Amino acid sequence: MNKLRAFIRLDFSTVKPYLNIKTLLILGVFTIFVSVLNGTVSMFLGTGFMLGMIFGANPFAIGEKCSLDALYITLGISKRTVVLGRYLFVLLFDIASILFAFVLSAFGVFGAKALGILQDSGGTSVAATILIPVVLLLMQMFQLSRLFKTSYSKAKFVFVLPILMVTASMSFIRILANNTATAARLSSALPESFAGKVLFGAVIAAMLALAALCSYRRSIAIYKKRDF
Amino acid sequence: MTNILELKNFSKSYPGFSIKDVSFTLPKGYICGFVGQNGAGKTTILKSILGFTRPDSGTIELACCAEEIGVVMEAPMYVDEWTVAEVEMNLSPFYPAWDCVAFARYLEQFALDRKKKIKALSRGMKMKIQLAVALSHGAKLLILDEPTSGLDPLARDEVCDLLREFVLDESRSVLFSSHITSDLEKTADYINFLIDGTIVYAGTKDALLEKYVRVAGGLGALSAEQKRCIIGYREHGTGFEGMCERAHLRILPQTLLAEAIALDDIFICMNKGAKLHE
Repeated sequence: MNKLRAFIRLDFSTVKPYLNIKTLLILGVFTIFVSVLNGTVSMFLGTGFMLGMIFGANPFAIGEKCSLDALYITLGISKRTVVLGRYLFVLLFDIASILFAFVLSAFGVFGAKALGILQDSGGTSVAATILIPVVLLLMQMFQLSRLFKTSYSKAKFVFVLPILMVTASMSFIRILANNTATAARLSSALPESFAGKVLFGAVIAAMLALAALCSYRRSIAIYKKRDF
Repeated sequence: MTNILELKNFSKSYPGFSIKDVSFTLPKGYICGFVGQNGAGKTTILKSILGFTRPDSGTIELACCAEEIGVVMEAPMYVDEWTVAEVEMNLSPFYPAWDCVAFARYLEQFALDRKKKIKALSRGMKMKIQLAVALSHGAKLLILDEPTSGLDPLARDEVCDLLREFVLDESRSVLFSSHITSDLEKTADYINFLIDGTIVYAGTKDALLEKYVRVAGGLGALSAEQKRCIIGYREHGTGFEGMCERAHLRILPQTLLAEAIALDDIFICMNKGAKLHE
């Protein structure tokens, strides 16, 4: 347990030098830019989360550059601990990204109202706040086992995929925003009762948990066989 | 086990290169030098001992755990953006026997600035920070890949002294690879000679230096059969030179010049001759 905690801290120390005000500003400005470009406030959440998610995978990139996988072995960290620790680190980073995105989103709504430049339909909100993070999380689970399988440079394409996915989603959302009938249909797809919403949330959470479990088990199996 | 490390019939293959049936032992309290050309397989064997790669066949037995091995590789396995102080902060929690006083002492000895980033260190300094870490966590075995390369002669001598000091209590050992045979000559008790993935000599340095002699003589002084005894035979304007096993001197002409040979010359002759000797 101590080693697991120390490993998560080590992962944080790995990305910490790159996580400075300049980077946060760039991420924030990019998020605002994409949201304004798409004309939807809700995109703050999806874009912010996506950028956080990509940044959260930095230990793989830095690890490859600096041979950190070999370092973990010399530190007596088991491969199982490395995989579990990395998944927990990514989870913590995702949570931090969501909080960061929410803060941006709040500023975005405030600014949009003041300037009257952005608008959202119910459908857009549903897509941006539920659809995009769920799709991204599923992709992230696929990404992680891919990154444990090969080096970062070889698995780079799986990093481009989420960006393409979100870009495609954004276009989809723009269509929705302009099509009130579709937006209304998407909104009505959500259950109205509280129990229905809880069930809907539980189904999504179960789906993500299952994806995470499969991804984690696959990552352990793959990482155990890797040479450095 | 009186040996801290035992390799038995270790083999590992890569496309176009393989290490075949390598066996050797490293007793406690001794320094073993690994010598061989670039690409001979030294780093691969060291990496396998450390657990970075898995052997295709054979066994590696270590009488200590990962935290008790000090490691120095050609490039440090630290994040470039870390400072020297951050290296200690990030690695020390993993070593139960971390000695911050010893680490501070080595930083001072090696003139390493705590605030300096790893990426800003010279190659020699990068070696030194790794050495400082390797010597500060109560390691029982040091595994070093070219630890003296990139260091000036004074710093190399300092490192050799540190390695000798390290094994003084006779419970700790060092395994290191080097191209700089003078460092091996100064520090190593055992030598493992590797040519094209095969160990051609594994034993004490003294026995190796005792086993071979440098020979030189005039052109035409040797018969074809006698020539076959010469390892790394090379002709020049006035004669020839090479080395041979001391035991073969009796079948060579008495007129030949025969003298003690340096490790460097053994290294050159063995590689030139590419002749396998046990």
